[in-house]
Amino acid sequence: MNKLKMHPAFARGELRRGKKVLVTGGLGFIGSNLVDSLIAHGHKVVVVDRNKPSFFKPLNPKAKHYRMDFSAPDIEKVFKKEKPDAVIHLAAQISVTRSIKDPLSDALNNIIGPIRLLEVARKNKVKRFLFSSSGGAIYGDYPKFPTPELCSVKPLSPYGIGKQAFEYYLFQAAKLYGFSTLAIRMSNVYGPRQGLGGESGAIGIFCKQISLGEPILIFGNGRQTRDFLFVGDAVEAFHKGLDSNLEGFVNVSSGREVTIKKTLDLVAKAAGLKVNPEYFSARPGEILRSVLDNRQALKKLGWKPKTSLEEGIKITYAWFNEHKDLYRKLGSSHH
Amino acid sequence: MTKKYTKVLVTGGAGFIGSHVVDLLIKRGYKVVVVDSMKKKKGWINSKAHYYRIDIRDPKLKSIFVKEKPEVVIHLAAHIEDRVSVLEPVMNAENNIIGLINVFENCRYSKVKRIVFASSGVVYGQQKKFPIDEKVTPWPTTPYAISKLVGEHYLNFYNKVVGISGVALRLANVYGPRQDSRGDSGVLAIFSEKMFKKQQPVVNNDGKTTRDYVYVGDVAQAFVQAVESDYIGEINISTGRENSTLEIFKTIKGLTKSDCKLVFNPKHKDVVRRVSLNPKLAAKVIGWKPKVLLKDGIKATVIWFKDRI
Repeated sequence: MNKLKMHPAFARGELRRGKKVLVTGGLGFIGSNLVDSLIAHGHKVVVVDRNKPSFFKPLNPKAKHYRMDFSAPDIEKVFKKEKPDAVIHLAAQISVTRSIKDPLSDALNNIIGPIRLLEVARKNKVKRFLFSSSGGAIYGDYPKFPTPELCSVKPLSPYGIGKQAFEYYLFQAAKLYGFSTLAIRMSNVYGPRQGLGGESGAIGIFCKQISLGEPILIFGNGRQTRDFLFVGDAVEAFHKGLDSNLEGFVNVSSGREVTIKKTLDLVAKAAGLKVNPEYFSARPGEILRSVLDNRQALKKLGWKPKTSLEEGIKITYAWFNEHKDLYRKLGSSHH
Repeated sequence: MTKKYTKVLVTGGAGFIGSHVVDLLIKRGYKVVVVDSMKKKKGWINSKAHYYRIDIRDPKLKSIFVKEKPEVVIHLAAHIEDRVSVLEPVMNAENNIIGLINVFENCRYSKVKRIVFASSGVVYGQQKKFPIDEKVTPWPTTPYAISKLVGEHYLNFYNKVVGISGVALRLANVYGPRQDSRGDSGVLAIFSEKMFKKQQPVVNNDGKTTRDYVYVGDVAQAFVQAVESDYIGEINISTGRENSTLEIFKTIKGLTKSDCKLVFNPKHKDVVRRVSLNPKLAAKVIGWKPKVLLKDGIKATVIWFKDRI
């Protein structure tokens, strides 16, 4: 069973508003949306991200950016200077395929670096640490749908192993030091600013292909399923995570299982077009079904998804269509 | 069991458990290559094995795999001090996760056929039912325990996705000759040495913490049988019995004829109070059973320490 529990030291709601939050990967897809929202809600935000701000890696003008790797030795100085109340750790190596080819660099980015960050955060009196974990990659092909918060699974890819590994370090720090930590196991997040790399970006890729009039490719028979979560809902879950004192791990997902073909139809509908996809052989190791049980998030975090897939796809398509020239230039190498 | 392979590479093969494994492999007629950093000690050397002094994280490990072309790898090299891992989790993970991946990646590219990984019973954490069997959900409580469980998960990846057959041996508390008495684990080694040196040993907590103590000679046998089987998964290597620190103290005190007092360190709390691991699966799938009784094993250990002092 899931080891969710409340931590008494954080029952006072110290983190409600106006606190300082350090966000790693704060220029990324989820990160930049989260930073905007945190600032809109009156938080001060420090972004640690090794990238340079750009259209696809936007920096909110009210956020302070440290252009550095979150695992660099200098990170300690950032904590000493900024004294953040909370850390949201989003920066990661995000490609499952790359993790299979090069498990060593995946583990350096997704296990070793994060342990170092966790240590620095704890020693610098951070009060709350949230981690963006991954439901699909941890559960793999576990044959129970929707998949609840399992703890006895062996993830198949090094990416999933790494995500779960860091969760163990989070629990250990919570248990031994009373350091308040929570892993948010997200399903496939989509929405404006989505990149085109990684494997979870089907909606973004369809939006790009349709808006640019490119051929539409489906790998496999199109009947493989995903649980797509709108980025605005994902951001909301992090807000709830900051405000709560929940520890352990929790699924954050739409809870709706939808096929890739149906997803494509919804994007086409949003675009007002009819499409004819080309089918290619399935990618090796691709998960056939994925849908997460999100009831614990409602019960323990008071969170539930608000944006329907139809609505979210409409917003996302409009954004891609508006910026299609930039996506054309970006090509498909972007991560 | 029959011999299917001729050449075995043992990481950590100059250490306490590793050296016993190497000795037994040589006796069984294997060609043995050892990779060991020999950081803390000169190591236990078998003249018939070939030794490379190198850290498992070193990129140069590749040239050893390319040159030696082992068919089997036994991965024992690790940072093993549980309590130190709590203070230095990054260092522990760099050894036990990054080092392990480096070893397994070399297995991948040099076509190793089988990996035997030294995991640990610590992966279970505090459980409620004893003896613990392999089906329960592990709940590691220290960075060391986490690193061992994560190592099993990588082994599973190399097995399922890369196609290397692999088995993880979840070792109970291994004791016996050659155990390092300087660390914080290995209560038998520590008590034996202190009592022979007429020093005062300290019993942690209230002495009632129990562990499953398995003799190193039996453990070495388990490794050889794991090499020679095709079993894939995790197996307890243990006795299924529980003995308290106090019982160990009294037995060694009797054997060494020590007149030391019973001194407790109540400040030291053990998170995990009870351990015994069910060894039935090992009997079934690799035909292994512990043979050495605790009293005989302790006697052998004590004699070994006596000869060295």
